[in-house]
Amino acid sequence: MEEKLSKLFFTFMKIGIFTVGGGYAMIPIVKDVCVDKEKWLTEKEFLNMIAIAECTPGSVAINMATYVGFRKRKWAGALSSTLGVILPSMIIIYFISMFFKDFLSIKIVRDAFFGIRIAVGIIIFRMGIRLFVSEHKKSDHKELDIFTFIIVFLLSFVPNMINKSINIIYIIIGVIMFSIVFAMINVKKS
Amino acid sequence: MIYIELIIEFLKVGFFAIGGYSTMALAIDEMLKTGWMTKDEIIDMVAIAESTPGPIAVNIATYVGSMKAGIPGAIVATIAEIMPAFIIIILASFIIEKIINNKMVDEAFSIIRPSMTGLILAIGLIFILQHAFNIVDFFTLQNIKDSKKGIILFIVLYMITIVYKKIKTKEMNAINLILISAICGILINI
Repeated sequence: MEEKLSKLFFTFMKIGIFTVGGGYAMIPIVKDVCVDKEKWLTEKEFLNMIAIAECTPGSVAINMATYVGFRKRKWAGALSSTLGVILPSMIIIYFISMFFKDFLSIKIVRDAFFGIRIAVGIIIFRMGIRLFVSEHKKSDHKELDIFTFIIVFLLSFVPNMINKSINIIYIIIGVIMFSIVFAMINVKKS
Repeated sequence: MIYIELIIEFLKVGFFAIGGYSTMALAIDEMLKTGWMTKDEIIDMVAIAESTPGPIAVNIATYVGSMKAGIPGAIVATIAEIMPAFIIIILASFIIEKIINNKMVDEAFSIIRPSMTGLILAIGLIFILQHAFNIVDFFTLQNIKDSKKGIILFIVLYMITIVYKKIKTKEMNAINLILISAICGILINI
């Protein structure tokens, strides 16, 4: 079904408004809207998209908006959803940077963001568990799934906690290389 | 000319930032190199970019662009920043559409997907530890003592998501939880 360009634009504008804390905070909102509500992507396609967004240049948020828009309506769709996702933050940041630099020292704003940051953590955390469970149910290599899940979790978590952040891109490249080797072996077998 | 400098700088940031969060590090580095901002201005920028809605990359580009050259600067910098992501994702979409039904690619993605959920879980956990418990790494575990409000808020919000799921038998919408958390954040600090 053809999606209206204005629909793509306004949907991603809404996603842009409610994304606080960068691209990762946007992932659960994109899932709510594009997978659960609009059914633009299946859960499988959604996780594929995250892998693609993580290992291509540019911010994850732009990558996701462009990807969904392009799948729905080619170039015009990609343009609509990407403009939609950047417009709210452009307007908000412009006003803050020009007229309102001490915006963060307003007590009520600071307090609200204190709550929001914790909620964003909870949302991302719960989504991680939920997606793993539903992916695991459908999988035909369940042990391997648990193994890669734990390894990638530890690789992303532990270095961060001992102050040695590894760039996530290396983890993803490692996963991709491993998955290609696995796929080659598996396809040959069958 | 300032516009051309903005375009070149932000094309660079947009192209070389791969996988979330690297944008911030890269942008800070570039701003110091070009001398466009002092250390204090950068600290302000980071705080604002992280706590206003929208992708961090867009927030930074708009912020720097508008500081340097007003509205045209903001537009030019932001478009330059998102251009690499936009074009590369569209190229990637073409390729992926061609190969996604290939058996081997499908196999490979079936490994990549569960690993992505491990990454998401790690990010969620890092967010929660940082913002609710004030723990940035294993060396700051003792901070948990001074984060009563964060812990209470975390428990309250987590309970809300669990209770909602029990009653409604579906996960609470991310946007609704963000709105609730903003209110809770304000209430707990009164």
